[in-house]
Amino acid sequence: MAQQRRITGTVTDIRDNSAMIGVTVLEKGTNNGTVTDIEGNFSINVISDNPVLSLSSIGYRTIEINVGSESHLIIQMKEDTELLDELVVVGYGTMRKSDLTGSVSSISGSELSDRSAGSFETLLQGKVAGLQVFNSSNDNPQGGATVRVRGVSSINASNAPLVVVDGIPIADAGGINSINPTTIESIEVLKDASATAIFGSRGANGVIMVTTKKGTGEKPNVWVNHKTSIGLFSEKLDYWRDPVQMIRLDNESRENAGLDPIYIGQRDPSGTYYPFLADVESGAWPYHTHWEDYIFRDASITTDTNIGVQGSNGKSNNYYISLGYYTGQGMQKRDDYDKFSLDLSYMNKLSEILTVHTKSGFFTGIRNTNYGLDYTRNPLFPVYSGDGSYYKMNQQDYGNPVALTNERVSNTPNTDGFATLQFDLDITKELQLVVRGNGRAGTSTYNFYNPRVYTQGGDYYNGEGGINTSSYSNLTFDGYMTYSKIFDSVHNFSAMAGVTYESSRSKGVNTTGRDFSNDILKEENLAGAGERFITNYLTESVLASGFTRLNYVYKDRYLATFTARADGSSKFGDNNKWGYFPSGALSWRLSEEEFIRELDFFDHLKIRASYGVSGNQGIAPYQTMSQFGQDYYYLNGDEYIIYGVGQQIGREGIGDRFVTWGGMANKDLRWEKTSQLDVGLDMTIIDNRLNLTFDFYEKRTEDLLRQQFLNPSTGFDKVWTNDGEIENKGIELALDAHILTTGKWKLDAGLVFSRNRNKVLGIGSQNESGYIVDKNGIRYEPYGSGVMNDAFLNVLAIGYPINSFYGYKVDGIIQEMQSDPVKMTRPGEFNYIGLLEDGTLDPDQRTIIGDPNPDFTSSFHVSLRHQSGFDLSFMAYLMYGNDIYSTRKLSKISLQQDRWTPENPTNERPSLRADRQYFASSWFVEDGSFLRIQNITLGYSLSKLKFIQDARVYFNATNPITFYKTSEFDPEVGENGRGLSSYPRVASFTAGIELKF
Amino acid sequence: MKQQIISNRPSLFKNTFRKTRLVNRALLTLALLLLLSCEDMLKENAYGSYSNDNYYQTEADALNSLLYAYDPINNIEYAQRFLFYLMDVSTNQYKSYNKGIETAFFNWEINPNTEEFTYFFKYAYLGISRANSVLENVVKMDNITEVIRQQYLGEAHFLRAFHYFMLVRTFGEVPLHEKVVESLNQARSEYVSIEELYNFIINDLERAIEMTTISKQQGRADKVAAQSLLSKVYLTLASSKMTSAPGYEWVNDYEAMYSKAAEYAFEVVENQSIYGLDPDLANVYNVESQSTGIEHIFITSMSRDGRGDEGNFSQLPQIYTIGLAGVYISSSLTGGGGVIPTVAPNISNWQVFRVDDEFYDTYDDTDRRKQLMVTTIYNEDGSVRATWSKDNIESSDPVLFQFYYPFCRKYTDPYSNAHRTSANVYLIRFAEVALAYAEAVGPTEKGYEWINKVRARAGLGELTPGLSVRDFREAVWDELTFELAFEGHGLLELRRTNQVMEKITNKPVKEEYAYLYPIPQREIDLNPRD
Repeated sequence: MAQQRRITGTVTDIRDNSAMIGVTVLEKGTNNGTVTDIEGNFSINVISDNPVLSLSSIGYRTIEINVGSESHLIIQMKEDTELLDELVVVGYGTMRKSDLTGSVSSISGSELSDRSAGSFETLLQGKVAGLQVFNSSNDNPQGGATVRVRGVSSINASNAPLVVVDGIPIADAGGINSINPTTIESIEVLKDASATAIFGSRGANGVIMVTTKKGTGEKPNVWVNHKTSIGLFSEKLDYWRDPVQMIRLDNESRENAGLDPIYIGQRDPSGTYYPFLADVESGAWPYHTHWEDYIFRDASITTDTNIGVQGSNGKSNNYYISLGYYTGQGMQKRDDYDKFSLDLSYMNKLSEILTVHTKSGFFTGIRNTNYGLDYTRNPLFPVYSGDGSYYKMNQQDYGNPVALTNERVSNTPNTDGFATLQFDLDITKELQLVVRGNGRAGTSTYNFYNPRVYTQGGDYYNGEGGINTSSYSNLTFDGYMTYSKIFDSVHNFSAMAGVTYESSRSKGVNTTGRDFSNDILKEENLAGAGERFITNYLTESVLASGFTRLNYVYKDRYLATFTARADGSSKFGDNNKWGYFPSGALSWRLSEEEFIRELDFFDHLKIRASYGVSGNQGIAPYQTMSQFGQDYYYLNGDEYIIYGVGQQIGREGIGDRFVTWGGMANKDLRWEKTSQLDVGLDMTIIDNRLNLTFDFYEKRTEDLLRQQFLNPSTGFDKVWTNDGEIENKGIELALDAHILTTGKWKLDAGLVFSRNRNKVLGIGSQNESGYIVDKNGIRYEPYGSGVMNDAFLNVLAIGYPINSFYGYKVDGIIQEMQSDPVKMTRPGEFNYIGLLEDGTLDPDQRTIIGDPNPDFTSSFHVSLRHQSGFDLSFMAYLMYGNDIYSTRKLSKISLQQDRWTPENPTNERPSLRADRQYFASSWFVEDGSFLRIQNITLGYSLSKLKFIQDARVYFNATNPITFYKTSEFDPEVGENGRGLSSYPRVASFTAGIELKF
Repeated sequence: MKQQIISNRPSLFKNTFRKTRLVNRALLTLALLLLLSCEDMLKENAYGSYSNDNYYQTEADALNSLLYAYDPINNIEYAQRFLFYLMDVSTNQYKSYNKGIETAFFNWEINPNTEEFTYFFKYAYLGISRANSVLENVVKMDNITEVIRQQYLGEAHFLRAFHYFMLVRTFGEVPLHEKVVESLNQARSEYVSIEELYNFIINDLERAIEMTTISKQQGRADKVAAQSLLSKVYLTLASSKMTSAPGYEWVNDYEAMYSKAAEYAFEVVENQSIYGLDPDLANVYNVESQSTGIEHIFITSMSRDGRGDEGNFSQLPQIYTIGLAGVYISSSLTGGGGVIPTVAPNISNWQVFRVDDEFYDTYDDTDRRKQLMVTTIYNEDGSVRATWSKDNIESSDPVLFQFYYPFCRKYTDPYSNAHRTSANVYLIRFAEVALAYAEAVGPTEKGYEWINKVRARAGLGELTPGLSVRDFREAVWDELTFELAFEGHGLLELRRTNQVMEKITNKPVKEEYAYLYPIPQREIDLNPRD
């Protein structure tokens, strides 16, 4: 028996040499142990011959020390990688980040705070590898974005990830206004099947977990934030600045079409008067209207003010109250959005074992929409006629922007509220039960009025207006139990199981009135309408589920996770009411292995692999049921409204002459099924300074919800079915570097890279889906709306990415005069591949001409902080390798100068010809790559002032500069590759102040 | 110390386990309860939408669903247009002139993908599916009177037979659906033989006759309609067998079939007093008296007041008359009595059904039915606007340029609501049954009586007496050609008398489709023939 020896020591944090309290000091192989005191000191009587001390503290890396002959030790402990020990919110629970086996990315709420937005989704762009956010119309004060996790995997159902707020599934991501970005503490994006399968039939598109703020700190704080943004066009508007030039080009365009010029001081057949060119040249024509001044504001002003109070009493209770007021403007006049929100959160530990949380909120907003205003309207027309009425160029002119702005009504007020009550019951140290209920409800009302004379609907119907009201209410109840325990100090086991019930109901009444006696009361007096129409609807759906997750960690190095969920959904067919979604994941923390430690290179190294199945039930309710149709029938002079089997579900044929019949039940209808394989690597090196996460995934979605044809003898044309397959494959890389961590300067940098390859693998059999096989063997069906003179542009083609462009190839411009030319074959016309001598096009020459899916997207950010309180951050966003179908290439006024003329025999642009028909062709396909400086923020923080605990002022520039090639005003287009915006992107400049008392 | 910890461990574990088990048990019970009640919770009830589950509650429901079964006939795909494409445009009645709206049937450029086949076929089956729905559901209703139930079920049997009879004559062997298709696995159905189809049709019509009463209404069939149709069914079997028309080799004895045809036609022409031969031919095609006249046994029900889409109202005048707005025609067949427009004067027409002038020439000049083809058009004030000539097709005059064929005036509506007209289509009319009776009974007294009644109305003299049975029947067939021209019977009559190749002389008949049109490609693709 060895003699006892007294060892003393001091433990400090390696970062700042501060004393560490409460560090557990154990002599290895014995039950000998102690903890450090308030100064970090300890003393222990060791008993072994070669004593080894093990020091551990939560959040710090456990270290073992060979005492040798020392009697006083000075020990520095290193924080376990800051990120790795964060608690990460996963479905129905939290996990230590280091224990994660799935692919989950986190963002802190503070990363979203320097900008204003009507909805939080727009702020997520470029923040997370694998999360793609299209902000294709950033001039919407209400926000809204298209959000995708790891590509598009459905063609008819939703592709947006599920948003879960504090454990409650809310809606699909896109434009959720009820979440005030200020209240967001953190966001986790669940990407692979191991992470999403716990959400079962709604997990296939990924899940965005939002955690809102709770009160912290011993002393109550009052805080006030305010930011004001000024929005400006990031580029000059494009319109006719010189009307003489406009007329000359118009004359040229008509001449090439064999038409007479219209600027001859006469009314054209539609009744529009066009002045003489000479009068415009000489300045005798009195009007030169700058429509942009009437349509747009000089700058849009957005303000965002939040005030709140928060506090806590240690672990026994906390509270957080926040009021937000947001006023947003679009660049167009009378286009704005205001909202007010209130969030309350309160937690109280009622006893040792029972904690209650409650959270509630209220939100009300109003959106005024102005739309369809054309700033390229002919500048030779005045705003007002001589009598003070708005000028109409002819009877059918419904485009006077000033009339539309002033006289039209289009607004949508809406209100939402929610409340959650949650009980956490700590039955034992290892066993916890969570029970909660949440209710949400809201209403939205769309008020509209189209006055006579100045709007088409109003003119046709003698005034047309209405009120469409919709309301919803959703209830969620869930309960789950978590058991976690470490056995024999090496088997770390946890199990969770629970049930949930969600019901949602939405109801609406749409009323429209036509034929008003005047335009004074507008939609306020629908009873005064000569004709009134009413429709109403109600949809209800229920989801009842059971779920479980098992985690097992052996020796902190081998990790396994298994999850499963059973979903019963009312939307599914009777024969498929229940869906089962399992997943499994394995992970190995190599950095815990001796042979890796010996390398002394990795602070943390983990590899992981997961596989699982999740679903997409994003179809409207009642699709599985038979539904009767409705029509009229005359009998004995009376009109009967008749009903029966078979329902009109669409129209088909040239001019939509024929009805497409549906209404047959498909009791086998079920969720779309996505199986996903993910292999990933997490690595931290160089003293926790460089952190890297890499993922490879392969995601396959089958049983796509589609409509298939039926043989006509059934009495039906189409029925919803599960058929079709899409694949998404990709890699994701996230790199975080803490370049300077000590000293006066702190410098962090990060890179996010995502590459996704999408491929349509199947769209059913040819007979059932009616897809087309072209002469090159491409099997496709049109997907989406038409473009110019063609009925479609985007296709679903087997073996090609979703949304690929289909059309003719153009090989420059025809330069040589043909022997017997028609309009389409003359010099200056498109040299279509497949152009026949008679000027028609051979449809068999069409092929895939573009792919709107990017090769990769990437973002890069740097942030620099100085001890004195200054901080500077910068973020750039890159999208690379996508094609855009730019009709703007043709219509953009500034580009028309470069048209083909005999004197300028260019190969780039056709001549101007007023009666040319345009077909989907490669000429319009442009490289959509762009690099945008997305954010620059300069801030200054100071703390411990007299009355103010913390303060920060900052300036932010959003979208100040973009580098791109396309002719579109805004290179960020929708996921189908088509330009949307008719004016440039808005750059906004924000000044903000944050005060905490 | 060490031991203590070890000994503590299991007890701690046990303790936890017990609690866990308790809570687990509670949770499991909760879960089970939830799951059990789930099956009910997960049931959907579609709001604002009728289905089998919530319809067929009242007598009105039964009637509405029956009318829904009649409705497909009113549409473009059926009696508003495609019936005429398939049956009349394909015969000598019309020709293309290579001018105006074309259809493949002008030149028999037809194949299984021809649009009109697909849609005509589909609309026949829409009618069948809806009739099946009435048959399956009205029979179970317990809160309607037995009289009503019998009447509605009888009409549904009639409708189903009407469509299958149309299908078998048009396409031959077709899939037989006796029930509403309710799931994907019921979609495919066997093609059954012509004989089986006829047995099915006869059975349906016998039941219809049994269950219905005489009740004359526009847009609905009754006992007389069922008797008329059944006589036509037997007549088709008889004449097809007698003339060895393809597809009817299985019929045993054509005279037996003729006597069955006579038996049912007798009930119509001799044994009831509601329907009859309208003495005034013009009245038969007068939009105002069509629905109330005595001639119609089964007629479509479209109205110029109809809401919604074409089919609730008719646009037949626009298709039949020439491509000019403001066309006025004589208000009588004999001339005089002022002029009426064919449709509201500002409506332009499409001149789809272009009558072959040689077909016009086959009518006797004294035949009033020849006047149902217009050769003179007028202005509103009654002055002549233009006169038809074959050579007008070359004319540079904008009015004459359109008037290059005599156009049919069987479908006009001078009182139309803009493009919405009440011009309806006879699906069965009395003259057709009268001639069927004559054909069935042959050159008997009754046979001569009925054919001569039809001829007399047209202003023609009596048929040559003392004809042989065959000659007499052929004379009836000629009469049918004149009487029922432009009413959707052309090819069907030629098929049942085995005269297709012989009588269609103005277009290249595709022999393979002469007696049976091809089953639409989509049906073949998705419901292949074995």
